[in-house]
Amino acid sequence: MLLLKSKRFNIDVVIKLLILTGFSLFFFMTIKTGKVNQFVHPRIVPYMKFTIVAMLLISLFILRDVFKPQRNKVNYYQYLFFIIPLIMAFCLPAVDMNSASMSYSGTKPLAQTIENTKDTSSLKADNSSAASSQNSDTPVQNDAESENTGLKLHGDTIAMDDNFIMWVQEISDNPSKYIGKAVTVTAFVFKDKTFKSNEFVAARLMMVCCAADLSPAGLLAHYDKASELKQDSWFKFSGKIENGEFSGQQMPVIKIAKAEKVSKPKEEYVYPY
Amino acid sequence: MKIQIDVVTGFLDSGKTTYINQTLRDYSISGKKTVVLQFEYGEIDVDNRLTENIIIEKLNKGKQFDCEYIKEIIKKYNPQRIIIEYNGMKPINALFEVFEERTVRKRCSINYIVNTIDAATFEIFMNNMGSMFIEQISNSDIIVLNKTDGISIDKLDSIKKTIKTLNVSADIVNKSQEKKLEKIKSEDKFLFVILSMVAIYFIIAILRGVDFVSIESDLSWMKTFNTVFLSILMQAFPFILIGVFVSSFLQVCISDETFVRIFPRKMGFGFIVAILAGFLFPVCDCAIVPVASRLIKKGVPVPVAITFMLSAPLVNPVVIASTLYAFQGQPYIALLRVSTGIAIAIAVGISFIFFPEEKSIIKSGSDKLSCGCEYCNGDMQKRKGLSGKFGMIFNHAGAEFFQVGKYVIAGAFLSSIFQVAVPKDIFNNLFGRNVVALIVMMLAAFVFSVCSTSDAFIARTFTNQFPTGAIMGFLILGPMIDIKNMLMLLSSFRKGFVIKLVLFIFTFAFVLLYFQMLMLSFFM
Repeated sequence: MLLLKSKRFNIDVVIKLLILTGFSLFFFMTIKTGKVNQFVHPRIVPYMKFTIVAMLLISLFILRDVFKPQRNKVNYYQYLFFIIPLIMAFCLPAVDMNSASMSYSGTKPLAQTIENTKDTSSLKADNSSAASSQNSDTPVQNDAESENTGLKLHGDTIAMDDNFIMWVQEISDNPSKYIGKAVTVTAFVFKDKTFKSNEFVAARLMMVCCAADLSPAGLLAHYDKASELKQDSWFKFSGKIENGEFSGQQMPVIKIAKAEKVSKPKEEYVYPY
Repeated sequence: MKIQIDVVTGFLDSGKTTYINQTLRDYSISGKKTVVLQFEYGEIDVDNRLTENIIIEKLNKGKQFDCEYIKEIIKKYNPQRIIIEYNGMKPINALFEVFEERTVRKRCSINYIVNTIDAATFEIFMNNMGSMFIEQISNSDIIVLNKTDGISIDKLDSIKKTIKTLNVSADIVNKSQEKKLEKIKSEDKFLFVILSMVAIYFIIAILRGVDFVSIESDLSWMKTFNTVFLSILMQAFPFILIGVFVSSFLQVCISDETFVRIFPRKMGFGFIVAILAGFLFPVCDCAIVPVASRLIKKGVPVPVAITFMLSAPLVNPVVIASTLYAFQGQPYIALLRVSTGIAIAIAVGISFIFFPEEKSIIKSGSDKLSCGCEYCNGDMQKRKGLSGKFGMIFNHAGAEFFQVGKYVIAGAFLSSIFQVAVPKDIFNNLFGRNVVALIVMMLAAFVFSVCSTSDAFIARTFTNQFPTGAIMGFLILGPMIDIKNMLMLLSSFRKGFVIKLVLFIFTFAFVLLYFQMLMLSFFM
């Protein structure tokens, strides 16, 4: 208690300095270790660097006042707003999101999710379709351009891992082009209660801005051993694109031939742009 | 051992000398050599019965109170304590400056700052001597309310309340009460809270180490929450910083007069200027209220100032940029945000032409036009030149960051809880209908009080649960009015006016947003 009554240090300034340097350090560490990708979209990283610099500069200027006695009366409780997140930041590790923690409505197959983001007719008053759709829009893709997506096939096989989101969109938009083609994809198993026992989605988590908006996205898959596959487990799937249906809607489906267990890839999230 | 300085300030007849006499009786027991510096002297004399240890110096009219003077006193008497009976008419900052000077600081440290107030004349002084009075109150550790015997309990309570809003941490003492000066101060309470949190964390960590599996699984939702919460902050902090830097730049480098000169007096043209000013002077909604108050006080017509206040946070380039980033690929959202926002701002402004305020809307006695940070008051004005201005901008930006940041953090916190803890299915059923969704989003915007430069990111996290039309409600209403803005308004303006303003905003916003929602569902 003696420390806080110190007349040598301006406690207010010290607390501010700790908060500013604390956040700068946290940001710096997440960027350095690469953990930042678990939190936010890569495009945010330059802004975070700016934040680090700005906060440190402010700290430098405030530093001058550290020995000046306090003038105004300060309500210290307001600093709890900053200190609590800071403590949380350093003490609790970033967690890998899984389907349990997602913010999605989950009743529609997720290829539909991406489908709807392009299709602005999803902004209808009927909320049940809108709920799952507003994840992203596709700035680059539109129907006229689907010829020029630059998506290449490896021989006759679609390797969806090359550009997951683009492939999901492309296959969903032009199923006829790809029916019968072989496909490989690394994804996790996503099952919803409404799915049949042989249905699941070969999904990846899509991030638009930050962890708060992560949603699973992918194509519907049929696999007779689907019930053996555990939710959220990662596999490298190989199969073929087929015509299928879900909830009365026609859509392309991957008929799984082989499911090879793999560990979670380092670059876990996919980005729509 | 540094010389302890006690400052007793207050207006004439407020009881300074009486208080000093009281204190001297205690001091003389501890036998410390004390010099009492009197800047002004009233009817009561300082008790100097115990002349050995107590010396009274009266500041002559001609003498200047500065560092040299203090050093003279110290040299002459070599005291262990100095009590300064300060002139209530002089700003206390001048005193601080003297004691902050490096050589003085080495010898002295300010102990307590006491403000004596005559309760009977409190209101009169508040109305007439506003800023001076407020300055003394806000800078004191202890506030002594004197002559409280004839005052009703209600009056006394309202006085204490006013003092509390000006100075949260001061101890208020009734003359009749005996209060120990060594009370638990707010700093100690704060430290205690931190310590208990750290203790809890350590306990949990230890339990986890001992393989308490149940604790582990309980914590997983917390980790998820943590990740979501921090991710929102990571996005928002850069924009908050940009906002406060711009706002500080304006605060420091552009004088009030320039601001007001830009706004013409005529109504019609005034509206257009109000909106354009928002483009040219990017000011976050947090900084807008003091600016708008300043404008009104300087004579800009109320409807025009209101339109400026409501539209500026939306036409702000930083806000537009953050909206475009958060809703990448959906530029129409940013476009609608600006256009509908301007429409609502004009509508509310015009409504104040038709329903004008008769009385002055400025709250009586309020002169707190500055943002409240210490860099707007006091000696910082002195620092001229580029480097001085630079320093001020950074200092002010830092202060504003802390003022504004806590609202964003709170908003992100609430939003994260919402996202993680509330079952998703609720939304499909409950908020399926648009009107309810819109109202919910508008209320959320009002409650979360997120700064307009970063609320786009928080709005984005709602896209899975709410239709676009409702989210527009969040995006458009938030910058215009929220709890934080309302509190700031209440500090400058009369309660009746603020309530009217809030009602108008909600009404027009709801009507126009509902209309917009219908249009969106029609065309899309």
